Amino acid sequence: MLGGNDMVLEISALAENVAFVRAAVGAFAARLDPTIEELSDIKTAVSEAVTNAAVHAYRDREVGSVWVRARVLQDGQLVIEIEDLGCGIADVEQARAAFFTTGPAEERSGMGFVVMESFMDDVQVHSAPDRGTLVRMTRKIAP
Amino acid sequence: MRIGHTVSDGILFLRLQGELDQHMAAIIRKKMAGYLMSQSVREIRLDLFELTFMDSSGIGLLIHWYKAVLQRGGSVRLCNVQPCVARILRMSGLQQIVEIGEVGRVC
Repeated sequence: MLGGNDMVLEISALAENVAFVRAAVGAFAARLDPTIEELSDIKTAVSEAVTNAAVHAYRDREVGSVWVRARVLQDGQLVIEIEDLGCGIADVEQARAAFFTTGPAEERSGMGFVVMESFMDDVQVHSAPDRGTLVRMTRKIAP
Repeated sequence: MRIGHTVSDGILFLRLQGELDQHMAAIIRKKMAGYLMSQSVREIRLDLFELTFMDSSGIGLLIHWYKAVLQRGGSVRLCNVQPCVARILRMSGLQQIVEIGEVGRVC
């Protein structure tokens, strides 16, 4: 992906790393001069996607990496990709539904994808069992 | 993330500082589990003036606490909620079960 105005980050898929990732993406996005609200939306969406990787992707195997890529397009769109090489999602449509969670019900709200969809302009999810998960989100920042 | 708490007359007062995400929610949940299991706590009041970020992990934590005190006829109240935190609370529909007071409204 590198070549335009890009960032790539690889980090262990652990819950304690999520704060670092959203701060890093937030700092990268700051060049687009977003409003406080836009920046907060982006950081929240990133937090949800990376948390999903930390909680679900490697739960049945050794913890691996999560890759975070961000790119600023010519028209001011911010594209963010969050990818893991973990267990994958068998039924993506089901996973995206509100309140659906495979985690412990008392800990997870099942709202992660709903928040991403609500706070970003577009969210695509590519996943297959044992092939990992790629979430691609875009958000237009008003100039 | 820092957390301050006091208990008085069956009300658990909590003051959260910093960013509430999955990692911090797990720590707080564990730290507060004793109070939540205690039948004497019927109401939880959270002052979020210094909470600068919250994702759906925070929603999960609040729903968990709401369910715990609901069994005793209690409630959860939030006050001094910053705009960025209010956005995700409203988006998730939490205002239907939890009283949300914006900045300036003290518990």
